[in-house]
Amino acid sequence: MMNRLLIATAFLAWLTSAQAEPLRVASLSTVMADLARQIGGERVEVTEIVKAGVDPHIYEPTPGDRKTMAKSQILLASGLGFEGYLDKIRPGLEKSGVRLVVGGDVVKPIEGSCDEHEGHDHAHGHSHGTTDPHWWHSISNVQAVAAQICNAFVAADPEGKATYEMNNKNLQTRLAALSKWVRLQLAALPKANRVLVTSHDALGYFAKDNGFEIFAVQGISTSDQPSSQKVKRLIGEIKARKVKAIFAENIENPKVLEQITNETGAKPGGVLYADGLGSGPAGTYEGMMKSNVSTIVEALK
Amino acid sequence: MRGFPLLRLFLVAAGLALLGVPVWLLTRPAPSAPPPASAPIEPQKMAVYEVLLTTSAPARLAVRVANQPSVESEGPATSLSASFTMNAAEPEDLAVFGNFDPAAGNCALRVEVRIAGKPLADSTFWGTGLVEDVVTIPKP
Repeated sequence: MMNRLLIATAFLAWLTSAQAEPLRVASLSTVMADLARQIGGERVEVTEIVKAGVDPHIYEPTPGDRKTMAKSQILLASGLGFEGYLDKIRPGLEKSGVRLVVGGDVVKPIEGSCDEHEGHDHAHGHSHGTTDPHWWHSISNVQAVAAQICNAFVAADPEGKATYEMNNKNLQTRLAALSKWVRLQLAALPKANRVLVTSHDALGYFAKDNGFEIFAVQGISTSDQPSSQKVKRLIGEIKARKVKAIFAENIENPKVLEQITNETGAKPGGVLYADGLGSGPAGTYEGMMKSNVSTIVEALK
Repeated sequence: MRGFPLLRLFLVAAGLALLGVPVWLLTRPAPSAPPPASAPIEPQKMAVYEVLLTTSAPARLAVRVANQPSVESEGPATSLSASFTMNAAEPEDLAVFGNFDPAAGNCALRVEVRIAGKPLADSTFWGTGLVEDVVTIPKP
């Protein structure tokens, strides 16, 4: 009798530990990694392949990264061409049974400016076309991607359905509150002042949602280089529009921006998180958005 | 070669200058296009926007517009009227606030915007405690 009880206890313990094995999730996006952690909680183990502070436009996966991706059950990617190498690695990952969740598949894409791409085919390191891949700067897109991640987790781990759906519901509520917070903050900013001069054209979705006009030194990728003609034109526009501030990005070399700032008299407006999350308070999606909005309002009002 | 040295020097210089013309034409910097003139800024057509806040229960009310002093009720009230002069081509958003007693439960804050009595926007926000939101006034 005692033996049977011991065996049953051991079996139950094994079953519990088997269930507690977390879902292995790898992410090529810092934003999606944050969403995955919030939705998955303790049921998932998220590995960030592309970490905060790394320029994702020029990142290429190392053999070690490929191994990590192949060992995961779910791989999160931004899509819309943001990861230029994705199509290359997709067949191998799918063969290994890795399920790809591509955020760009469920968002409403917008066109990005591509005026810096004369004679340049997007094939080196940043194969996006004219579609702007920085969809996370629109909160409604993030809400759609959060739901997509939730569905992927439920499909991979049906036992966690209730947890994933409850966490997603809470996240959606927080994102709706964040959206209202953004609108309230921006209401203090006169519409005539809603001009964003940034390093590269990454804030198109934010601009569309909130009535801003964008003047970017580079194109939609950090690897696009501005022509001297474009810089000259930009300086003319900034002077004509009496733009108050110019923004740098957390992973950019702000040298060209410094030159434009000096020539136009506009002040440096601070650092924006354009290509993903930052560190400290900007290490979560909500923190990143709040940091960006506060920086913009403070500099332009 | 015979002749005056000065004449020879002049002829050599003239020849070199003639040879240099096509080289200069090929290598001279292209005249840079002047920066395009920015879109002409239309003269502002100012209009007076009348804003009326009404509530389902007494609340501390406030309405704010960028670059203008905010208008607030002196204490809990069920209505607040304000007027703001703004550029009619691009009116600013209104940030509206109603701070209700949480014990009052779910309360409503209605915001109406008019120009010369003509309705432009009408929104109602619901909530408990602090009800705050943004009203975007449509362009004419």
